[in-house]
Amino acid sequence: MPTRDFSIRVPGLIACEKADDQAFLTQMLVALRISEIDVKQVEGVSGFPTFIRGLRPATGFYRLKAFAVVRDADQSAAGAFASVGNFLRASGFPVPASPATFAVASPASADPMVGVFVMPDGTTHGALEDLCLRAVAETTGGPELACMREFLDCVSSQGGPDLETSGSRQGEPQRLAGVASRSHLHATRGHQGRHSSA
Amino acid sequence: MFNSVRIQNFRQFTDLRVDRLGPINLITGMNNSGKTSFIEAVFLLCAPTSPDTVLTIAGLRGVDRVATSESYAWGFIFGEGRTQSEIVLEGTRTGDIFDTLRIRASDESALTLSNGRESNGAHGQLSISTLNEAQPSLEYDYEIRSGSTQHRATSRIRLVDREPVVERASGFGQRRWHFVSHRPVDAEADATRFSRLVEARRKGEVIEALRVVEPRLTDLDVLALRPPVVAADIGLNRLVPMSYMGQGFERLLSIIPAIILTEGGTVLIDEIEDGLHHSVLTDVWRVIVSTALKYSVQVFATTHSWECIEAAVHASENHPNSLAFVRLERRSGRIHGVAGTDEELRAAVESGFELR
Repeated sequence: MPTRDFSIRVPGLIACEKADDQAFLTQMLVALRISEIDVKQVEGVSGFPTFIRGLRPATGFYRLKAFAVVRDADQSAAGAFASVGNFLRASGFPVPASPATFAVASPASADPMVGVFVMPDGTTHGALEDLCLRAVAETTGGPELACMREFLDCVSSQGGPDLETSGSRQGEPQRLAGVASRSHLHATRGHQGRHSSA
Repeated sequence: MFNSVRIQNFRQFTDLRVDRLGPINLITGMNNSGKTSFIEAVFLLCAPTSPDTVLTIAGLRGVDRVATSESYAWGFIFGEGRTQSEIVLEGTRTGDIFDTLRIRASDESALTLSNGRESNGAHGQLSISTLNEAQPSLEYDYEIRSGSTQHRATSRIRLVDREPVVERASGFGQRRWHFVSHRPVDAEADATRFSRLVEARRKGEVIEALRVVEPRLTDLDVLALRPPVVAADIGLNRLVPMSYMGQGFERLLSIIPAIILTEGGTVLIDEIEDGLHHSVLTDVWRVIVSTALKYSVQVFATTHSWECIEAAVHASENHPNSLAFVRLERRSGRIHGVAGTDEELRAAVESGFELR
């Protein structure tokens, strides 16, 4: 059941798929000290068309200057990008030419500029968690990642699900990247003292 | 049915245009955003050759003896009381019919300021004078266009010895309209309307509708009291006057007969959820939507309630494109209208957007 009081209070809005994505993006904005962007999850990828269609009558829509859709590529980045583009087009919003760019509405329109960000990088399949892990690996070398892989292999060898290959559809928390990113956050919580539960 | 309206220099509205209206229109907005004023403007547009409707809306606002104070007789309908400016109300109706109503005041009894000479000989001081013998009047200049056909007529209301005298233009078909106020119910008027439905053998429809708020209801009758009142048979040993039946019952008894008797016209309902518990709102809306569509009545209803909007959306699920939504917003000192279609409204409710 969605809340009944989401109004647009700031000039930026990110629509993302799930509660995990919302928590991560919200904390990311806090860490970056950006307060002029709100994040709202749409309860799964199937919620995007309804969310986009209902955006225009929302209280405070006139305040919106930039609207971004963040969704996972899942099987195909191109397919994910095209599907969001179709939802935007159907509701009369400007559609960007490529992922991670913004389309600007005509000067006569009061519509915000619109961007579509397909995770992890706009070209390969995967999810937001993949981008997070990639960032960890690139910045710290990710020594914890080897431990997590060992753990996941162990679970699999004991008859548990093969977390590396199963559950590649959105919304299934078994995904390797999802488990690994959560594990990484928990593993580093004690060291750095300030991590969200994303 | 109005598809769009434009309101200029009327109450809070400098220049408000609202498109994409539908059969059932929900009007929302914060306090003092002009929800009631909006439906009053539509009301005036529904009766473009009956200038006495300005007195009706004054009465709906609780100003019953408007004629006793000439300068207030209609000054309140002009933007910020600027009676020198013209009110312009425009409507586009189904069938490419365009209505334009221009309302002008000639209130010569209003206080006038002049740059005159005082008895002490000083120049440049303001003095105030009143023209006691003037007859303030309000002029309705109405134009209707359809294709290449165009008709124009002027109607007028004057205050003569503080009593309204109305001159209506003739030759225009009478449109049907009804305004359901949220102010205390006029039991006698409800009884009169209900009697008309009894006469037309449509009582059953009203009883069926009212069962939404009182399932025990089996019959309704008019008791010849002074004034006459509608009374309900709910299985007790005597009929119960409507004033004892609860606010929700009274509310629906005002709304449903009004819709049935306004076939092909417009019904304006102020604060529709008033007196109705949230748990019955969906059923109430179901009755209102089905009755309005059955009798081709366009409804404009103001509301403050999210539950009411949600209920209207659920109640009209089986009637695509029946709902439209208008939120009035005050920005930079001016009222703007945000319109939403049936589909957009449903999506916004499903996504949990604030809409009020």
